Amino acid sequence: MTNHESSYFGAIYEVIHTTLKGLIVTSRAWALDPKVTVQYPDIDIRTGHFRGIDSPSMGEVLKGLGRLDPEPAMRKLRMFGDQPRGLKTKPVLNPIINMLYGTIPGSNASNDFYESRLSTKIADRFRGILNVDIEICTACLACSRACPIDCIQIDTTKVGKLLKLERFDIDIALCMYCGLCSVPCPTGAIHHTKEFEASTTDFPDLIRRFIDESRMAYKTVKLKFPLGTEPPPEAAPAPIPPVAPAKA
Amino acid sequence: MTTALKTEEITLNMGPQHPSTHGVIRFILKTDGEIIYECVPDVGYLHRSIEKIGEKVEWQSFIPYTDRVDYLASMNSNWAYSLAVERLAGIEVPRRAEFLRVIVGELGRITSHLIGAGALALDIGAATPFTHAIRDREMVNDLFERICGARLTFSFVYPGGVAYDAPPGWIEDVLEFCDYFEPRIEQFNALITYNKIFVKRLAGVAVIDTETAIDYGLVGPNLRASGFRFDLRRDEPYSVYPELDFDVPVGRGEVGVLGDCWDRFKCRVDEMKESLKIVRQACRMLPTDSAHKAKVKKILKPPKGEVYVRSESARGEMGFYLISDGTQNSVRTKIRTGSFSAMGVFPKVARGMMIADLIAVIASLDIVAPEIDR
Amino acid sequence: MFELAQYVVDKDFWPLSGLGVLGVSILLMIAVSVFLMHGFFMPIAGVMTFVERKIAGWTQARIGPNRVGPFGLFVILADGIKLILKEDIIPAAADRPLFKMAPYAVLGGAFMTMVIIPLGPNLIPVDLDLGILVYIAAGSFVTMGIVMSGWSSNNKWSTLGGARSVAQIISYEIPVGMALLPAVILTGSLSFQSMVLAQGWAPWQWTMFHNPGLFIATFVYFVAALAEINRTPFDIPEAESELVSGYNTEYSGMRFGMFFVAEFGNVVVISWITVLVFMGGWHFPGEQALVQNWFGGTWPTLVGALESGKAVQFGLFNLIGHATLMAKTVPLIILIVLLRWTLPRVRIDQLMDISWKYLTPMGMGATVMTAAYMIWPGWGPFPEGAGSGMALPRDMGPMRVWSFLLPVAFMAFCVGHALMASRYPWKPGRPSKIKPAEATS
Repeated sequence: MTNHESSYFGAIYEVIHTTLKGLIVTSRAWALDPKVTVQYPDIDIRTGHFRGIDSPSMGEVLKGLGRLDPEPAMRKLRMFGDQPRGLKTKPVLNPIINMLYGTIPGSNASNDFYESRLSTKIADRFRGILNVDIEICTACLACSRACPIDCIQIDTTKVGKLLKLERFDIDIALCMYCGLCSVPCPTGAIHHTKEFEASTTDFPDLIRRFIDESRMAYKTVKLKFPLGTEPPPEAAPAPIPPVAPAKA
Repeated sequence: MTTALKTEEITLNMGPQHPSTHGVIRFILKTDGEIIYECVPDVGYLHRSIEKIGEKVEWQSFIPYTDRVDYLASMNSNWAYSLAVERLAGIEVPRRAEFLRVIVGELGRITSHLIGAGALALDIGAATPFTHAIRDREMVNDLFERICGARLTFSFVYPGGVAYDAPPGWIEDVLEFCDYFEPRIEQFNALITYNKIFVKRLAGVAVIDTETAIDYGLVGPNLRASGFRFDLRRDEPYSVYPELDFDVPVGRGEVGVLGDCWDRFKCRVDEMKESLKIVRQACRMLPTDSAHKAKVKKILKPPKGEVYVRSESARGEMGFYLISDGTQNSVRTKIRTGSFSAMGVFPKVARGMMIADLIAVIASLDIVAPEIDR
Repeated sequence: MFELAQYVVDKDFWPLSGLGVLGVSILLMIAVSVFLMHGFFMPIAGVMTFVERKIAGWTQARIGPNRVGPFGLFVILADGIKLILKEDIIPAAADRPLFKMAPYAVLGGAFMTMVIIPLGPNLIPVDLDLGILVYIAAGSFVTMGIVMSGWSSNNKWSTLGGARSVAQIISYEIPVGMALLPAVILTGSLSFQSMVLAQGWAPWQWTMFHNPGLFIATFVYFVAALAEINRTPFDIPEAESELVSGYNTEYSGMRFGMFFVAEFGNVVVISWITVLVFMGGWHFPGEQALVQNWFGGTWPTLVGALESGKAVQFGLFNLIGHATLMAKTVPLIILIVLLRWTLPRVRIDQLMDISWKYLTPMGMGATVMTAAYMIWPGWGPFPEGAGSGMALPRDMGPMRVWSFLLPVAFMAFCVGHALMASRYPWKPGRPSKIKPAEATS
């Protein structure tokens, strides 16, 4: 039935052989793969640095022991089974490990890459929870129109020729974090932050209201020339020569 | 004289909540305890009316919704929809955008196959390959986070190009990732792919031969594992694929019968290697002199017409059928996904197999429930 | 136990002696059981769960539990407290008496074996003459518990799990028995302690390397015992991804905890039995010298040591023996844990295949080969041929170098071949550090 039906003893040997190969991979992963976990409560993901003394945890213990890199590049727990850095320089153990596992720990490009690239910082473009700088919102409603899920509610009234913002609500539970609102904003008032912890026990907390009392919308001034491209101020006109006194 | 033993069939409900159905799908099984006599899939638990929403939001605003159609291969879904809109509206995409799309599309294919293959291993019982796959996927997630800001639902490929250009240092990191990842595929193979127990679980199980696969409309790795070398990137090329050089892995019945679960698994693992090749080429060929997106009107109003465009997503052919009547919303958005067709093959294939094999089949067809129900 | 009770009564330890020998022995039995259960079995099972979670974490490129207590050790306590505090849900349509009894059957079966296992030269509560039979019978007790839990849950998935498990455990009893049988034949006794006493500390004095049949029997026993305790790759009854935890599904809180503890306790028990029966047990080098120096050439007993005032040496002697046993057991436990996280699960019919088509014939072959060794003149412990009785524990016959070196060479070959076959894939791929600016567009 199958293409590769093994004989009786062939099957036994194949089971042993592939099991051993699998065990080698597993034990290699146990011994040599860096056990990198971004220990989230300890590291402030926005900056990559450790939080303050308010978070008592293993991180504080290790920091106190002076065994932690101040650089926010990577944090590894120095515990039994984690990547033993000392092996990088051991001349006797390295050949044995090379023979067993075909790799020298620390010298393998893949391990180094793994350790150095997994970052503890959130990327700059991260689309976190929306925030609005209400001072510079022009009430153009571009974000509200662009939102595919209608989570931005803006109410405006007209005061003469200007706009007055009555309500600016963003329902962050409804928000898809797609970024379509921040693109058309003319002033960059609405933008994504790196914030993502918004869990709360009250539903109304999930509607962020950015207007406490109604305020006038920001009025942008249209420049004659874009910034930086104004023509140099013209040379001062030649001073009017003084009128020659009429002399007879 | 022997009397036949009176046995009863039990109707088992492999219900919407199950660790192995890859989402909320329900299977109604008639078994006698182990052998399945009848298997009827019941879909619809994850229906979110995405196609109806497509008639309400504007053309560009629909991109975040296409993310959620197949959230494991999100870039490819975005890309498929963007292709359709571009065909409809006649938008020309600059070359740099095309290459960036190829890079993120293939990286997205790698992530999707990592989860697909890893989840199959997990359902068969080995937990470690899945975690190794997730660990490697973290690299790609970080890369994607740096370029577009999200880790799962990217909304990156828009009609006309891509949303952002690659930040400085990103391309070098992509190449470094390729170097890092290539030996990991071999490690994955050593751990699980050729493991005798794994092979015995999957070889000869749920054999779908070529005619059946074509008849039931299977696409993607499922179709290729049944021996039919059909890949939209090669046979109906779009974007810059004609300039790239890659193989299309096909099932060979290496262990077991052609078209069994193991072939589908191996096909996915091999496709990851090919995707690495494509990513490397695209990174090298990335032009620096063109833009990363075309100038598209803010309020896009494509001319009247209808278009069906299909592209090779991670799960096979993802097709978008769009009807436009000149306004800024579509009249009809229909999404054709590979997983939905794969549901159709269950009643035929599941007859006579054991429940454990059914789990293997579901996982090997790489079903994701959101794709089925949209 | 009775000797100790007699000793206590003789020495007139007030107020115990007033109870008489029977009373004191009952009291001792209760005390030993409680100590064994709560002071030894439960903690070992608990530590075993911790070891499993840590090793699982490390092989999966993550850290295991590390928050609760130093190195995460208190997670055992935290798990236990969590399980106790959970709501005890019994399905409305479940069969209540069976549902409640099932975890205790499973736990009892696992714990029953502890009583007959020698953990040191004298650390055995009761040295039954029928040790192996009791061990196999206790395994069947577990079967009963599993099928009770599967049936009484009133859940089709649990019933499936229970039914599969009955088939599995019963059909693996045969290879377990078959694999232990050569060791019984060789050492001439069913009691664990006698089997250990027949061996020595050096590997060539172990039962495992006595003849190729016993070498195979070791692995047959190991694999069959793994299947007995429902451990991956044979954990079909509780297959998490298929049956949502099988017979465990409807259990919550400490009832589930019982199943949990029983499984991990069983892992330790089968490792102990493998070491004791096949790998030399608690023998350590320098044993005879210590017995000579400390106890004057006679093997120590508890009462004898108490009477002659050599309690400290007795304790130390047993401690060293126990430490040697644990040193040999821990690698086996780690191997079992690694196997769980490396191998996928076999299907139920393949499991039956393995048992009936592979393990049972191999066990039978091992038995026949060992029996042949026994009666072949000049090979076995009966140099004059069969029929000459010998007192127990008996010598296993002259050491044959090749019967020790051949299996070792075979093992080395298997491991070496696998290592060689998996070396190269981890060399990193070709470097492709090409700057995009240099690329031709």
